[in-house]
Amino acid sequence: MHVVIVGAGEVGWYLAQRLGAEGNDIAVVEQNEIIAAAIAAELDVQVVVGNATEPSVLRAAGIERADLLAGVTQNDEVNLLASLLAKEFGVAQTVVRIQSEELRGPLGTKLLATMRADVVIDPDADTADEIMELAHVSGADEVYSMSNGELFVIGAVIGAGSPFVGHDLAEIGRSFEPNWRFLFGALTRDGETVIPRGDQVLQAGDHVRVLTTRDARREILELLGAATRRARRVMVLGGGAVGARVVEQLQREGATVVLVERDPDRAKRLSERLPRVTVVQGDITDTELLSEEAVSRMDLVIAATGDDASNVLACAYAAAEGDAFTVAVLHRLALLPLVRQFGIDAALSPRTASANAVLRHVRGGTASVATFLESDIEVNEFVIEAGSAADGLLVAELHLPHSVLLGAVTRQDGTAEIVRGRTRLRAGDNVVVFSRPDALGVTRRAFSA
Amino acid sequence: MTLASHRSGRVSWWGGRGERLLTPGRFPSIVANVVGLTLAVVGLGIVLAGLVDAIDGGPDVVVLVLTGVAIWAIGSVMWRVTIVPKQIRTLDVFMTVTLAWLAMAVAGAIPYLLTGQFTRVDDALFESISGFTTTGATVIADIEAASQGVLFWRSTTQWLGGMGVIVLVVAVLPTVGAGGMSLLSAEAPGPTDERLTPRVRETARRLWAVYLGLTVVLAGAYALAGMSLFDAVAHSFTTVSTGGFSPYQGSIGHFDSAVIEWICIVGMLLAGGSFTLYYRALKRDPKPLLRSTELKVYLLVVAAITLWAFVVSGNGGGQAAGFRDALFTTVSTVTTTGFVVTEYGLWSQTAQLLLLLALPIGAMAGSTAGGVKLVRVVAVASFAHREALRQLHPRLVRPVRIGNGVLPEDVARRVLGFLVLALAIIGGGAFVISATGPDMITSFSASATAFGNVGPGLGDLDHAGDFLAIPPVGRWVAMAQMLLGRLEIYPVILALSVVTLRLPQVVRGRRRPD
Repeated sequence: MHVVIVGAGEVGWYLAQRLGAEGNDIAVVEQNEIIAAAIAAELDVQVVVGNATEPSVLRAAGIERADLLAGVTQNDEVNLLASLLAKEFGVAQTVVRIQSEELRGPLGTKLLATMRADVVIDPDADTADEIMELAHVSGADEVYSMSNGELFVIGAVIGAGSPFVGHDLAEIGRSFEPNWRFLFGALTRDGETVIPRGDQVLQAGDHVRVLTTRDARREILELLGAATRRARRVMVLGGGAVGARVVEQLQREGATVVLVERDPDRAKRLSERLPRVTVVQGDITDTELLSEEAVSRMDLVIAATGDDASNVLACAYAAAEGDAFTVAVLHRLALLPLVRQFGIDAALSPRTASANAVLRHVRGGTASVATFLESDIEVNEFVIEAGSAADGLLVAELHLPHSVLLGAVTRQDGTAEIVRGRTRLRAGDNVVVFSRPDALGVTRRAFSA
Repeated sequence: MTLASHRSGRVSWWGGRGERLLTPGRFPSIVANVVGLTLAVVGLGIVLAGLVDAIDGGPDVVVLVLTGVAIWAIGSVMWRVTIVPKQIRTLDVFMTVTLAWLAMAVAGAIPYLLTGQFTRVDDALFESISGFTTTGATVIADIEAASQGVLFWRSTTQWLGGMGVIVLVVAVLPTVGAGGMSLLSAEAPGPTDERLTPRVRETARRLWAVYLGLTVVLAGAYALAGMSLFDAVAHSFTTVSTGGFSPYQGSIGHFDSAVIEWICIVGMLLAGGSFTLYYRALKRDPKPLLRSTELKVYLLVVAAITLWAFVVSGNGGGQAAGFRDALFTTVSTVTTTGFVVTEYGLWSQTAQLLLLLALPIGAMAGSTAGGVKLVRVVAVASFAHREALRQLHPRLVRPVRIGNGVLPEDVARRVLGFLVLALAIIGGGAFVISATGPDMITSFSASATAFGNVGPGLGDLDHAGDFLAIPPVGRWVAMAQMLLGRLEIYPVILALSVVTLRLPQVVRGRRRPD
């Protein structure tokens, strides 16, 4: 597949990396020469320097044979125009990043249909959505909902008090017979992530991703020894696009919210828009301000400014002062291994949030996609097609490679269950699969006719 | 030939209005222009009262008609020799509104004097101001002895003052341009200067259309309920304007009819609501009306005072108040109308205290009611709430809100200033009135009822807005308070400051008057 990515910012860079790893041809169009040189040096992609609203530039990026164009610059107009041009060149699918909230509304839908954009993404909105998932399942550091919310992938660090510590997965599985309500999909220890097998022994401090049914998600967090508490008092640091969305959602859900915003004008506008939120003007790393606003008594602290260092510092201060669950938005993924040392409970990045949305579309048949910050393991959903290899087989008979783990199945009537070797698959079932990108092709073939 | 057409030499009296505006030779003066037109309207009103008197074969036909024609003629000439200048300054606007109201007050007093209703000038002026400001306080000892014409003129002054003569003038003026909206908001009750239409003249026309429509409906309802045509029209005039004048000593209580009282309650409640929102609701946009925080507060205040008066007074705290009596008196007070059906002076003290507190507050902004207006109270409450929160969160950023709506900071400050001034005026006025003799409750309620444009008060004022208990000096204070209350302080104060600051300069010949 030939993919043209317009804009080598955070999102574009990550997409190029991710799609390139799956063996696609990537061409990146970037206006800034320095950034263009940087991405050319780092990734195995074709880089075209120029403005993507000019057909000659797009042609240089091979738009005529492209299957997909992703317009992911910071500029809505450029993204829209690039998408429109791509359609003129016969590109089958386009993904457009739109930041204007009004364009994402009902009126915008019409415009976007006219512009023939297939998928609209907004990293800020996606990040805000992910933060809200974390707020709902507090104690988890990653939450992705799959199969229309019937299943969840929850990331958490195993606490010292967890009954799982010191046992291998086979033992744990036996203690929950006959029906499992959760399954370990990935495990990170010492910076290395694996898809665990039955003989894997769990230790305190392991970062696990557990696939669970909706009803069991709180129970599993308790079993993992992660603190769960409903977020009633929330402090949001930074009232940018992400922060404002999160606060709006929290306000709607009735939480008590304190919002700290540095820019006086922006603070004023937010205070007008959010009647039930306490808006405070000041710097988020001003510890005096944070303690004035009782950061120590918060259940949840979310740092969502555009500045990684401030986000980390503010969360570290909050973690030191109280026992709030802290969530930091990080733009540079290289910082990620460091943040836990500061007592930060969860970190997420706008680019992975958006990339998940794009990947979901690129995969075609898959309904949801989750990628993890620290590893290349992906979670995908597939529909089993009638006449495919998997149709009618037991899971054990599939003989999937070791880098693939079939986690759960959602039947056509909407019921979801964690699969066992004895689970029989049928056409129309929706399956959730943990895998490395290189095994994706094998997996897809097993489920397609 | 008028002066204007003589000067231009080619335009007829009735035709070519648009052209005539452009003709040279007319003095550019917004004050003279608007005051002239206002007087013309007042003159026509007096003529109408004369004609009503004629139907009854009354004694004042000739006097009223001649007075009316004379005032109309003077006003028309002033209007036609002047032109609204292209550039209008804010001070001109306040000057214009204040002078127009003073001119109206004086012109409106003339019929009372010439018909012999009053012999004292200050009594006539009091009655006139009380009428135009829709206060409804009176110094006529025996109302029913007055001629039909005089009584109809009393009601008409309230009707004209209710929606506002300036609003009417703006609706009639061919062009007022950019200054029109400020004229309108300088007179319209409440801090809303919302435009219904892009053109201010259309906005003014629509407001008057709703007002006129409500008047007609109410008059019809009164007539169906058994009032004579005269009574129905006179009472509908003073109900929609929240004025409260009645041709009878016993006010609405005179009719002793439950149906009439219910109609009056509904009429007063409607008149206490925002006419701007009514217009929108009539144009199938009822959301702003239904979602109005002020409306909720308005109905809540009415319900709370009614229930308190009903329950507490019924529990031996004083004479028992019937539910309808309690509701009528509350609505009449909160809407600043001032109709009376019962001797609320015999109610329990707490119920009377609530009425006293409600006197200067008034109903919704954009209504015909007087007083501070509930929206200002809501705004100041929000302001106070924010300042209290700021003690907890020193760096709090928070707007002043009316419900979910945001009040811009400068408007909030103006509202706070207004409330402080209003309290000072009510307090100061009460002091001066009490210095002239009346007891404390009477003085305070006289002050509050005058500023709130209600009419009746407590103590010695508890029957149908009778101000005979207040000595002449106190009445002058009340007159000033009625005007300050109706024009919402700022226009009057600014106009006064112009006079006091500039008049000496003009007298010394250093500057031309502005």
